[in-house]
Amino acid sequence: MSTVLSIEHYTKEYGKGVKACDDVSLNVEAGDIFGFIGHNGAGKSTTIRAVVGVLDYEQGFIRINGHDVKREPLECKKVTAYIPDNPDIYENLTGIQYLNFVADAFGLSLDERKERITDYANRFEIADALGDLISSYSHGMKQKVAIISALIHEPLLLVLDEPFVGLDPKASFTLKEIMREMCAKGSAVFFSTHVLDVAEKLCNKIAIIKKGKIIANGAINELIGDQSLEEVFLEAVKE
Amino acid sequence: MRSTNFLLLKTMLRSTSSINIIRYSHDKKARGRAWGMLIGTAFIDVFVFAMGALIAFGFSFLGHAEEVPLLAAMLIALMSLVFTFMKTNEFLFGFREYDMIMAMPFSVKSVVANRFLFMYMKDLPWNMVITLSMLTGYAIAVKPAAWVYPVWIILSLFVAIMPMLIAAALGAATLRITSGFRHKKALQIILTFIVVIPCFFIQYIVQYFVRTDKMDVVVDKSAAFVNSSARYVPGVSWFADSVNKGSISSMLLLVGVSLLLFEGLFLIISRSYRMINSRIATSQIKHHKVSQKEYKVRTIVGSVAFKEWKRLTGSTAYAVNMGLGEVFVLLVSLVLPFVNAYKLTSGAFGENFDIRNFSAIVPLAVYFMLGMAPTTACSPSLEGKNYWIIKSLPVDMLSVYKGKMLFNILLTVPLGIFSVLAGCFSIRAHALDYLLNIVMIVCACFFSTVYGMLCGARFMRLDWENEIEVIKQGTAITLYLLPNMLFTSILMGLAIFISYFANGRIVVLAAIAIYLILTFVCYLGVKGVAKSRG
Repeated sequence: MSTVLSIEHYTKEYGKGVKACDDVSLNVEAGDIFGFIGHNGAGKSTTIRAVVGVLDYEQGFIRINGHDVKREPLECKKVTAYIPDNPDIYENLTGIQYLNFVADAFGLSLDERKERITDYANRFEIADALGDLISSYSHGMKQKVAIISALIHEPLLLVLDEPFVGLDPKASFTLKEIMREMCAKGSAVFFSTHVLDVAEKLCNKIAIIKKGKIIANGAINELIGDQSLEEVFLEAVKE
Repeated sequence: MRSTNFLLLKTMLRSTSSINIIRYSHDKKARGRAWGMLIGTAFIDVFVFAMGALIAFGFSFLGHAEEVPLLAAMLIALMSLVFTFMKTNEFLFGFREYDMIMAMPFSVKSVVANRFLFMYMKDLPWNMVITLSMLTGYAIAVKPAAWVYPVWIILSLFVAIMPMLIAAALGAATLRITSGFRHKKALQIILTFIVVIPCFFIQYIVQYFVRTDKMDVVVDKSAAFVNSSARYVPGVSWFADSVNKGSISSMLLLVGVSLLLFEGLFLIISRSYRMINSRIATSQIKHHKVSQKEYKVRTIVGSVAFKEWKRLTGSTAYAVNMGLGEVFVLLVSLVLPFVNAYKLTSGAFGENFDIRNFSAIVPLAVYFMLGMAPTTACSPSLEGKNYWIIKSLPVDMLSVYKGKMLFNILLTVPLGIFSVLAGCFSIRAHALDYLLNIVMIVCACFFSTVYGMLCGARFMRLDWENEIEVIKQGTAITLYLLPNMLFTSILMGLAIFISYFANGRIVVLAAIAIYLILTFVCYLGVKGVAKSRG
């Protein structure tokens, strides 16, 4: 299986000596649904933001599909999609205008965007609201538009930061379904979450981060054995 | 007001204060920016203080000491009126932390009053610089009695209140009317322009009356203008009577009416405050169904330009501040074809005077307004929390900047050409001047766009609380505004001077060459910044 995301010795410092992430290394292969777990302030978002090229970093290497995030950012971004934990999107655009904007950035043809936007908008039950201004959307609706914008170019790597926060149960189910479909087609999903039940059922691999350091990493079956993920996580993060 | 209410005001002031950043931030850049802001403000204050003191001294020295308090009060009152009206939609209504504050145990009235006081406190240092500078000039020339100083200083604190309250009421009424409509933003922008534009025309009316006279006549006319218009600006005469005549009743009226209006107005506004804010925050109930036409393919540069258009029209503060020059130019251009400036100036300055020799002024005057504030100087900072979208897209930063530049060019160039055509027609310019002046305005607009982009990209600031911070007060816009205005003023001076002795086309050609070179240099700078940003 080919490596879609490779993080090697990634370290991010804020100020002198304050390490938000310290020597983080992990691999996400094609077909993986990789859960990234840790409590608040552990370094999940800092890692994710560096992976998608939003945050600069000083040490280590991050490669997406063999391309270095720092040296070949555009090559990496072309195959990646990102959904932040609180998707602030252009409030003055309508849903369809925002999706057109993202589709333009990824160079999608008219037919491709029509087909995919219609498909995902129907699946997330937001088709009727796409003509309205984003500023009028609820948090969940904004989240849905952000998710659709991430999916329309069929990314090789989907990176999500707390994707299930604010989604209704139906949308959560649809997103999980789409994540599985993507992985079946050879893409990979890398996401952070606090919802351990979801991670346990959805992921084939997980990594646990504590105070910026990876303390557990591997196939979920091997890591948890007979225990639940919750028990393993609480044991791992215990002082 | 209860002490808990001051807690709200204190917190808002603290959260927007540079001093707080300097004291507590560990981020060197943020601290440096805060220091820069303080030092920059101090420089401007010193400059304004010197100007104010000189004007007051000049008025007093030429026998118009009684008009100095009127002038000080009128300046504060007019500025408060215009700027408060423009800020109502960001400071009083529809502010970012509305939900959080309204969920706290404060009464609606105290929230409204605190937001108003917050606006007042933000303007207070500026108002005090004006009034104290005028007091200084007045005191040096007149040497007034000791009681004048405390009366002047204390009453200065109240002068801005009534105009601010009137502006807030107008702003609230505007929002109340427009918030129920589907295209409420567009309506707000139009209504704001209707109120603001006449205020900017006042200075041109004043300039018309005093344009060619000697200094003492200018001061006489200005004093007469201040005297006659003071009665229309609330509170100004009371302030002047308090200082000039020691009138206790005027002092009581100024303070009493200000406080009464304050209490009364916020009682009224607070009744519909939630409703207005709800309407601002929520959309139309009926969904707009997406048609097949709305699926559109654009180049990324075109797509960014379209996004910029929606950003501009989606924010009243942004549209009014960026569009003021454009609207002003448009209005003047619509009138100009009906004014035969060639005939008018021949009549005024004699048969030998030929205004066509001064046609270089036309594009420069148009550019002075059009190039006042380009969208490119603010738009990188205005990405704010949306910056992640641009950063995570597979688009190089130069393409994004090109899109932002394209938008500003589309906004300014067609209007610039139209205005130059109108101006040239009005002065009955020669055919060649039409062509040269059009080339010049196009070059000037390109320069404004690219220079603005350089400032905007280089001094991008994403961590703003209120967009006014980067639209009006940001480092990028300041660094654009001052050199650009200075450079344009020098060019205009040179154009007038040279046109007296030689063919004005030399100035136009020289300006075209200068603008082209500067545009090229700035573009290289933009490319450099784009490369560093990834």
